[in-house]
Amino acid sequence: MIKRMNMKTILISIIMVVLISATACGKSASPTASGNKETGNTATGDTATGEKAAEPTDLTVWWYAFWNGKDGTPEGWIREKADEFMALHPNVKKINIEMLPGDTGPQKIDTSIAAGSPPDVTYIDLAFLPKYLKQKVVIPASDYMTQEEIDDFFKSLSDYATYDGKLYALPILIAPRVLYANKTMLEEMGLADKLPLEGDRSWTIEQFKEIAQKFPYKKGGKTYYAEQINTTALNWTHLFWFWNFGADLYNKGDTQFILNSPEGVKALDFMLEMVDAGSFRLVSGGAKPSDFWAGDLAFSLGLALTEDKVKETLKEKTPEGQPIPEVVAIQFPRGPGVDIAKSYSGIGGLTVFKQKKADENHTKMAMEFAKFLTNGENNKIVKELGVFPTKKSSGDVFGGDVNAKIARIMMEDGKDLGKGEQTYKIFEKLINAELDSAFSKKKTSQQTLDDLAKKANDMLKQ
Amino acid sequence: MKFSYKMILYAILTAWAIAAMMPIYWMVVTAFTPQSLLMEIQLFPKSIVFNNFETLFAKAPIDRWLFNSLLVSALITLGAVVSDSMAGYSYAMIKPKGHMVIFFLVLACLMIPDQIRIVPLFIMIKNLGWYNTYAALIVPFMSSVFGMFLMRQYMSSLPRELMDAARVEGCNEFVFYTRIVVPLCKPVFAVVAIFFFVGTWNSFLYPLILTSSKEMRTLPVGLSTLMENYSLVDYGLMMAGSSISAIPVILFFFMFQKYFTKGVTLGAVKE
Amino acid sequence: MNHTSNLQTRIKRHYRNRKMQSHLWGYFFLLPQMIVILLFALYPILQGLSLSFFEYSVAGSTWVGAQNFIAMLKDDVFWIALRNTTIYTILIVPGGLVVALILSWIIFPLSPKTQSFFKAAYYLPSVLAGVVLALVWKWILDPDIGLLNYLLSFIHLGPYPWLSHPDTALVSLAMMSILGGQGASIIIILANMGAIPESLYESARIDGGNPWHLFRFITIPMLKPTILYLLVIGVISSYQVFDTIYIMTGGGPYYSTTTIAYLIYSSAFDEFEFGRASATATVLFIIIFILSMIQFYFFREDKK
Repeated sequence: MIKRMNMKTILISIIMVVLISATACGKSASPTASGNKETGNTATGDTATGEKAAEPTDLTVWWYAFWNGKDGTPEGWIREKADEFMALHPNVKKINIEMLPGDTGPQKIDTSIAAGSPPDVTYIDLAFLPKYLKQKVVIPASDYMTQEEIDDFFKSLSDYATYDGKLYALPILIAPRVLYANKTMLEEMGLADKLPLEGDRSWTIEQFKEIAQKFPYKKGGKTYYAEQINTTALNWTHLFWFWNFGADLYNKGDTQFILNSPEGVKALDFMLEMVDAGSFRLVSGGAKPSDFWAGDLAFSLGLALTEDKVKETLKEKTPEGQPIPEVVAIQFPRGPGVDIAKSYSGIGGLTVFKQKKADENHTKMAMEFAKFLTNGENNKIVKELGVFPTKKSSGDVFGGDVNAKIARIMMEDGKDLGKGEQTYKIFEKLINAELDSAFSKKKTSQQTLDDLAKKANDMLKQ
Repeated sequence: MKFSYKMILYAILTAWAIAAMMPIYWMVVTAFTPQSLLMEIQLFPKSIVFNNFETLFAKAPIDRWLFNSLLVSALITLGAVVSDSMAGYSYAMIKPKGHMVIFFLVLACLMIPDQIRIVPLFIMIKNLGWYNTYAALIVPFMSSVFGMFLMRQYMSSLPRELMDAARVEGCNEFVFYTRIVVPLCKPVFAVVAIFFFVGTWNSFLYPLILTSSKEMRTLPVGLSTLMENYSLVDYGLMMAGSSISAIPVILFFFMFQKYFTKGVTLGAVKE
Repeated sequence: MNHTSNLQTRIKRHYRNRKMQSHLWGYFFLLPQMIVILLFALYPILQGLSLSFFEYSVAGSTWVGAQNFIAMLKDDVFWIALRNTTIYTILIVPGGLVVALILSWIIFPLSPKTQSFFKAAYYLPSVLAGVVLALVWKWILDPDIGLLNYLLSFIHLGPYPWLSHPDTALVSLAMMSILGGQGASIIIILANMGAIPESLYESARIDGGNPWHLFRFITIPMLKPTILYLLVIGVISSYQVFDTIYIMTGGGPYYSTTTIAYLIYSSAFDEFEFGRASATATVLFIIIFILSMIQFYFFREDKK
């Protein structure tokens, strides 16, 4: 009986294997596209635009679960857009859509590039654009765009995606940072009138110092600081001070690390001064940083949120029993010689990858789709995620919200982190370790920055 | 004295067991927690909501994904149990010429991280035309060194008198294997079956890379395409997804774990 | 004379044939696994490893000889990762094994129903996808809102930084594995314990052995093959630990939890340097292989 049972098992498994292979063979013949059934085929024939009838082609788009379409699903949105696009361009017969998970999606993109079959259009965090450029797998978008179209992007964004004079990706969303101030705390200290609440809310570091010097502020057994410098692991928000004193990470061309410029030294000296005076809190090693949203600090950098979202966050994060403060968004203070305050933002964009079989018509259509997804009208949807559109023509999607206005002003000019992956390495290994030695007075600020620059440049050469 | 010693032991055991169950408990609790309460520490849920589950079921073909995962895991497990036990038997009992070389060759495959294999395998699957098919999800994974190794160790500890007795009687290897060895190895078969089923059920990277359409996704991969967006993770939704994903596996475990128990096999050996 | 030698030859030939037949059966049994592994595991792996000697580029890789290896050996982070991985392995493999053995020994004599409960309790958490488990533990170990510090606060201990401090991060991860990751080992040990003949225990008890003697002189020796398995697989797995690290600490803080497998991932997918990743993997393979050989040597079955 046992033998029969085992025979049966083996027999069943053999049948299964055969069945599956049959299914597999059958399946491989069927389209691999999920977009096929729902997006539907549009009519063949000449385009209505009067252009020369283009050859038929298919596109492959990989997307993430960003925001929902009319049917309430993330995939629904991209399908809608695909349908709209195909109606405009009847020569595009099919748009294959694959949804990717947020964290491992990039791995699949990389694998497919390495395997020689990348998607046509997909989304990437532009900090990683250099990685793909090094492999020369990205098609420059500017080759397919008019100057007018390029100019519709906020300049700091298109700069961010421009290398060697060509725009390589179409920025689609941006998470800009603003400086938040705890107005209530400053009112208590009688300093609220020194906040730049008029106009574009810009101010200088000297003006900022007037407030900061009044810290530390002791109340009810607790010490409050103006700001904090965090040198734990991957934190680099202190870069804002460097930038707004006029220092830069890299030279033009991103070949030299130049944070040790005189401006950089001034910035570091300023931070040291603030920490020594007790106005800034220094967070290093494994210490727990203070939380601005729980009311610990007077100022803090943060992602731009609408006033409503700010109120929500405060409600969540303010400890029980404490009154909810009023928080305003202002520009980062700028140092001498700096005209516009500098900020950094996380930027995501669409790239079009090179295919093995270079087909001009195909590439053009892929570009058109990428442009379509990021045009002024479609770009407005990114506000669902609480981030900002990248096109000036999208206008103000936050209905006149003040914080959003400030953020958009800061988006006009901004800083980027240079060579994406190199910079992350430098951050991880070098910057904070070096800054720690400055803060613990082991080295002077000039020495620190010189050492940092030397190590960073060594790293860049590798 | 003896009484209290045992008591302490069992108290520790139970406390440990409860601690070990914490992750599952927390996962289920979070799945039913509304957004607003997510960041608080709570041992017992303050309020229970179902909308995480509703959202999941509304947004996606979970039934198809469930089916895919079941099919893929079941077939791989079947294939693995069969091929692993056969191989383990050969290494443990027959030991053909050169078996140690082959054994280490196969074992060596375990010693290389997945990332190295992924691009070549992907290219191979594409060339075979298996991209986005069940074949890609099943066939490359139908045998495992872990399982084989486990079987080998278990089988090598079976009493040798048994082997010799049967050999003398002149039955061939296959009959011997199916009639005597397999029934004796039920516990280790069950163990391999469960480990494999669980392992392939949760397997993420390869099913992601080797499939592209919504219909072909397995449950874990499919769920992840719904949830993770631009680093704003909705933990409630994610835990709801993992809870759903965990149910079939837990069921499978309870179905098979009765084979783990001792004593079933010993009757076969006559001293 | 002739007759005898004829018989001898025939007997010899019979046994040789049986032996050859036996070998053929041996290969037959190996076949299913060999096909799958050779085709889908060994072959792609070799293709991947061969990139060790190339500088990878999508357009086409160029031969660079041993350059990847040299660069790797010069990289500080490689040595840090090697150290971390080794410490981690030394902690969790013997540690986990001891824990699993002890727990199994305690669970074994219990009634089947109780056994089932404990087996389920210890094993089911590993049924959750690695990602989920890592997130759960990350939350439990969170210095501010984590469950562990919360519970410890009741006995006035802590709060400890666990994963956020370079000195404690790696150990925290190891602790997580030793205490919470033994379910599978326990099940394997229990299954193998069941194959130990009761008669052995009986005669030992008659001779006056106490539980510790039984454990030490019967259970452990009889579990030798199992222990070898757990050790070898343990070392192989722990040297390749990646998922949990990726989610919980991202290799930090300050590289204190960067492992070799993490480096390989990082080379391959953060930087598209598949050549470098393959070189690192080759070195990792050599290390693991040597360690496995050593383990097999120490646990070799002496032929009676």
